[in-house]
Amino acid sequence: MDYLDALESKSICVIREAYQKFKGRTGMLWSVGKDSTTLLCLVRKAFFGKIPFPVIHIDTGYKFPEMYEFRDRLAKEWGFEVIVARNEEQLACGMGPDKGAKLDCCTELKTNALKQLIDREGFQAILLGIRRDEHGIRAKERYFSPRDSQFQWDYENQPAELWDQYNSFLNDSEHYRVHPILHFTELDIWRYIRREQLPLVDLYLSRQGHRYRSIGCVPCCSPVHSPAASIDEIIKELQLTTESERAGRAQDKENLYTMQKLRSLGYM
Amino acid sequence: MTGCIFLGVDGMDPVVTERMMGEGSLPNFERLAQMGSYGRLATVAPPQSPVVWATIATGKAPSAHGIFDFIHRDPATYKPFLSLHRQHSGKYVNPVQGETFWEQAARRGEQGTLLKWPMGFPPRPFQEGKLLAGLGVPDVRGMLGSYAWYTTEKGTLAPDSKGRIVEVAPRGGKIQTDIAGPFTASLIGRKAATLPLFIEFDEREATLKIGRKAVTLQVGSWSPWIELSFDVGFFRKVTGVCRFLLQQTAPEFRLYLTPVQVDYASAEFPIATPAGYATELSQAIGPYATLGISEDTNALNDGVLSDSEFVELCDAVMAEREAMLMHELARFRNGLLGCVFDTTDRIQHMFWRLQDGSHPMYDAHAAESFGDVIPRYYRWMDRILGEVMERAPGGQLLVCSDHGFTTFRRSVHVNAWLMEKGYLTLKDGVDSCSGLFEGVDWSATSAYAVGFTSIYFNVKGRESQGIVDPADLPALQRRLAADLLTLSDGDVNCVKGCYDTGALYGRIDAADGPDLVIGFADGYRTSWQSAIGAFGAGPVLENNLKKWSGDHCCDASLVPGVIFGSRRESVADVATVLDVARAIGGICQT
Ligand SMILES: [Zn+2]
Repeated sequence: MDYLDALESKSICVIREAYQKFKGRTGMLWSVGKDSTTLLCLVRKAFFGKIPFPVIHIDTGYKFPEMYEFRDRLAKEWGFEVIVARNEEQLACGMGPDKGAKLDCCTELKTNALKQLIDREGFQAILLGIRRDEHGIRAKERYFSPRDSQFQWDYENQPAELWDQYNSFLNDSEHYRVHPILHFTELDIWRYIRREQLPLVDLYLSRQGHRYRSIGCVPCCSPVHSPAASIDEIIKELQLTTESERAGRAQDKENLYTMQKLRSLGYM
Repeated sequence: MTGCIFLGVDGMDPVVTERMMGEGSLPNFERLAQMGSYGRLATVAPPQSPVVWATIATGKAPSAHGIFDFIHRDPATYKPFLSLHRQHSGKYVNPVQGETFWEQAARRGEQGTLLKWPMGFPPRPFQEGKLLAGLGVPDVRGMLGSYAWYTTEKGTLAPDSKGRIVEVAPRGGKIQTDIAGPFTASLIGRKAATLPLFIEFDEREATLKIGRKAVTLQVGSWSPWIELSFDVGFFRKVTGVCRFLLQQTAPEFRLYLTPVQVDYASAEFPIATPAGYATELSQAIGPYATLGISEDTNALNDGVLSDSEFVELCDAVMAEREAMLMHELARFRNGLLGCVFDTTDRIQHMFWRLQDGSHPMYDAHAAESFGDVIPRYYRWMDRILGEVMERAPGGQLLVCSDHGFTTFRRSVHVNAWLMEKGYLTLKDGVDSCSGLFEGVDWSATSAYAVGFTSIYFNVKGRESQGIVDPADLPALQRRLAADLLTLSDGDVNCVKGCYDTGALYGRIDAADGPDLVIGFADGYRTSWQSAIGAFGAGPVLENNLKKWSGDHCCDASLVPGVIFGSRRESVADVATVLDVARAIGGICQT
């Protein structure tokens, strides 16, 4: 099996497992970015061209205009329903990134918008396109992560990704976040996008020497210097940068493991 | 009944044995000695269990079987690695070279069964034979044993604890946490697979739920063996077994979990040959510990297990071993039956402090309660021996140990000493190394110490950044050996002998072999840090303040083992551990 096929089948397996458990109480978040668009494509593959649950777009009101345009175009082309979640209350009273701290803005506009929607629609499982290599804290994420009714991630007390093992822990006040593409790296995503010829917001491609590595609210995103104006060029660029970086990190990890092993012999 | 029964007793010491026989507390050993023979058994240098058991198995010196120390090094990277098991392209391979006595017997058509054989992992199949591996079998995390401790106590443990310390925060008598399982080499690096663990407790008991399994434990009690199954990704599973000890629930919550041990039928970690043998044994005697070092010395030392809890764990391991032997004995007719008991070694390592009034860790109060643990294990071995003699009257018996025991009062930072003497140099701006020789300036280093008794020179053409001309090696060996003999602690010499391995073993074929073997004086041993390439400028000698207080990684002449044989003529020419394999072969043929 090809490397990308292996990544794909792992994702599809997680997606199907989630849907089998939660059926109509499943939903997915789509930010319109490359990761969640990849997830969207995988969901279609998992269910033979259909997307059997609602696709939620959290609209902070501060997204790039290209993103709104792309959102509506793809929904029409692939034929799925988008539920747009907006924290109208906060937007109305002027909450935005230029008001207050950036984190407050993200919390208010994203988390609370999602919370309201989940309460209203009664979702029990939400599929998200996050990857383990994204942020430090995400390294601790699992394919299935519960959150408590306070909407807090409980990183220490997470169960593993084995459904049957914790069926009994599920209660109505909790919902599960499902991360089907957790094992993809940024480079994997680009290789997959190239193979599947996925449509994409063209903010990712270089214009006048700059491109976005991730997209979201306009004020929270800043472009990076990069001449990569095509997907092939992005892949080449990432291979040179990320892979050499990762090789270094992998070495450190191996040394840590070697030490741990040696130390298990005695009191070293 | 005919055939040969071999009992290996790890660390059985002649001084303790002779004293106890004199007192009349080892009647069966005494009977065996009178009926047949008893003697002290010279061991090989270095007297470390993996080295000596490989010698007992093959009848060969370390230079031939390739095990020179608990820890070896890779000359290409200078990195130390454990000698207990080796991995080649992701698979475990048995590190011992050469034909063993049971393989030889099998070739002659003698059927053999070996229980808990050290350095037997993974077992090599042999004709119609059965072998369950002992020392060297890792836990499901690939470690020699990493426990977990679930506790509400914060920061009471040494930061270098060997286990996984999980600080739990109960909510209304409920705890949700997890069990860490095997590392999975996934696409995104190494990570641990986990299983959710849900705990409900009150002052008297706790119920542990793992998936559909639930077990209720009274405070102070051990769970039976519990089977776990970890998803390691890409649709593969690794199964393991473990036990819990509910230490207390109030005022603090404390739950100990043994290292998760390889399951009997594991394909990732084959612990027996034929593959089904480990399962067959578990069906016959019930579930048992599979880990090579299943007496959790780390947890005792870290203060996670108390003396009495550690002894309870050891008792269980010893009882399982006894049950295994009795099970095989019941169906033994001829051929060869061997069983190695190694709990005697762990008990002596951890409790020697209570029979050595001069040990820095001697504790008169603890000695009152646990001063008898070591003698009790000798008496337990004696009882097992009596049982064997009774149940197998026609069989020829041979009992031996790999080495004796002595005290370990002072730690020697050998690499710090090498640095002090100018043999080992750190890079500019680096004043210490936390392990794996990181920060060593190899272009200015001629010698380095690895493991508990090995010194290597940085030889051109062998080490990747070698500076020592092979022609200069003999002179350098002599010089360093002479220097080492002057290493003193006040007016006491710390080193009894330092041996050139060429003279010790003859020709060395394995590139892994050290150039010098250190024979420490009584009471001294390489520090834990120095063994794995951790050192810095600072004192070379330190008091040993660990409960690990007895040892045998000293000069081989100080720690001979014992040998008992039921027929004098069979063991008449057994002088050293090198002769044991031949003696067993001789008995099997008669
Ligand atoms: Zn030992």
